[in-house]
Amino acid sequence: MNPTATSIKLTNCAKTFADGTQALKPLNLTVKAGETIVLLGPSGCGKTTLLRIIAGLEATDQGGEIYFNQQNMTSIAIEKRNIGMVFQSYALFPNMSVAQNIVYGLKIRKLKPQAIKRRLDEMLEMMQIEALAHRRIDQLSGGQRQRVALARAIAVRPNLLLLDEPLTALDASLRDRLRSEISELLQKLGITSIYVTHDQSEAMALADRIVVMDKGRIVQIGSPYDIYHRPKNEFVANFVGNVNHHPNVFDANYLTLFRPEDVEIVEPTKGDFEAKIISVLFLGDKSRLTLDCGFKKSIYVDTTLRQNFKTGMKISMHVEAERLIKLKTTDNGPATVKES
Amino acid sequence: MRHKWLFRAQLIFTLLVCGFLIVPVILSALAGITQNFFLGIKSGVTLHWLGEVWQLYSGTIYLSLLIAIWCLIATLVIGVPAAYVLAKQNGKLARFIEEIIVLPIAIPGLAIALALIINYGGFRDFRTSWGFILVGHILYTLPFMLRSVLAVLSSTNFHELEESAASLGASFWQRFFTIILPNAKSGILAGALMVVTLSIGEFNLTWMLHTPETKTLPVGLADSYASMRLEVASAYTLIFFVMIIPLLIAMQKLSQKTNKV
Ligand SMILES: Nc1ncnc2c1ncn2[C@@H]1O[C@H](COP(=O)(O)OP(=O)(O)OP(=O)(O)O)[C@@H](O)[C@H]1O
Ligand SMILES: [Mg+2]
Repeated sequence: MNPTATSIKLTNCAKTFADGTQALKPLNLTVKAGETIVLLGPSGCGKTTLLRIIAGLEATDQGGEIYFNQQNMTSIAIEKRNIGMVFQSYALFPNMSVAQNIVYGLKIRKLKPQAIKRRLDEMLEMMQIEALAHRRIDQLSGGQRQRVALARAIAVRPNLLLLDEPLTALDASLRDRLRSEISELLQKLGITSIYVTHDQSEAMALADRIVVMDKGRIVQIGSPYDIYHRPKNEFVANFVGNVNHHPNVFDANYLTLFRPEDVEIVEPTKGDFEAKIISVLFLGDKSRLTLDCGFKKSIYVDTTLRQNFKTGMKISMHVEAERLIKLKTTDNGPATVKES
Repeated sequence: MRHKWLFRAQLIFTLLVCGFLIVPVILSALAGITQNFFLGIKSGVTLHWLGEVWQLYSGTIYLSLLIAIWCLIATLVIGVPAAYVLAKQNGKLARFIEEIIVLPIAIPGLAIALALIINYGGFRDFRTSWGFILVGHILYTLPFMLRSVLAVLSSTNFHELEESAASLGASFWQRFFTIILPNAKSGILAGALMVVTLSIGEFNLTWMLHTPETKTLPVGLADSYASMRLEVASAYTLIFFVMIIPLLIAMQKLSQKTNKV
């Protein structure tokens, strides 16, 4: 871990905008030094607002406090917080070259010219953009801009790296490649990072812990594994993947769910339930079946079986008991989750 | 075939219009260097009239340049920060203030001049100084500077640029000088050319505000048209052209360049 990595603590941070919109309900959050946290949630749930509060671009409502390493930063301006920030639209300075963009923060910090030069070369090499150093910003592709934006944010050796949907503006294949590059980079640097996205696969790939948000609240905090396999409520279960309602387990106190990939297709006599295939989506590595078991909601099943499924066929299915997701029905409202 | 005809007709029409506009200008310019306008150019070419204009009116030329430069300085110092603040705010108040500052575009120069005289004419020293004209020019040109800078600022996402500069540690003034100003440069330059051109050519306002001691070039021109030989007036016009045309060309070039980007 990076020895300069900073821990973050938010207590009671809420945000009400001037027009009365309450974008964030009072929330607490602790980020360990060196950890990568992903804020995940649907559009408008307050991810950007939370990130901007941590950055110092927005003030929290009265009563909220922000600590970097035990130090109260609540009223410290953004330019004094020593953070690195990557914006969705990159926000590169069009009046400067790539190299000038990268060293901007170093010049502001009045580093010696040799030190600036050394850091610039290091950044260019790390992001593999040596050849672009003297280009103007409008001569770069989206992916290249993203690298420059990252290099610029990291060059100042920030205590905290904040990224707001940095990959959303890129096309799918580039997004996948940059995602794994960023993941490696964050591991290597060991900087405390907070990454905002509404893409669950991005969150899974990058996070040490995922913070799932909904309507201005934190719904669940946990490792990607926990979030996926032990979701706190139906909203989380649905947001990070697909879930089915079990068609023949009824319990007033529990909701029983399972994921499409946890279904085994079995002999007619050995199944827990059976259903008729409504549609088959062949994806190469697997097939996604949509089934009708007599309820309003269809059931989705992912199977890797090499069998030619046809619409109209009836199949029997079984889900192992430990693969069932059991949720207390009282937990299914918009839950208030206190961080432990 | 029809296309060809249409094109030719349009070309001829355009040339006619251009000729209609440009011939008097050329004649007037020639008159300024002709011995005797009524005898025509065959009476000989001379710089005599230009010399005479210089003797009589060089003061007005200096004063016009002086006022234009101060007017430029004032509109830069007031207009650029004002545009920045207005671009940053998007409340009702900001739009209202913008409307107020831009109002002089819609008000006739004569009315602005009258208002100035009624309100401040009593301060004799001020009334008789060229500062009085300067104030009128600033009122009249400020909207152009403001509009021009506002337009670039709202076409770049300067708000986000500023936030990212702040995240890199830049204080307000560092951001203003390293990010805002350089990125607003094209707008500031266009505004500056406009201000200088308008100030040098302004007549309505200035005619009302001037005193015999404080004549600008256009006021002097009007004076010479009324009381001097045609050749002198034309030579004077020629000088005015020489001053104003480079500015107009620069403005045209600049707007072409910014349109391309
Ligand atoms: N400056 C503002 N003034 C008023 N309301 C705002 C402002 N900024 C954001 N909001 C509102 O606050 C809520 C949360 O916005 P926020 O930008 O944090 O959402 P988000 O989770 O980042 O969404 P997205 O994934 O679409 O970026 C939204 O309802 C939004 O409309
Ligand atoms: Mg957002």
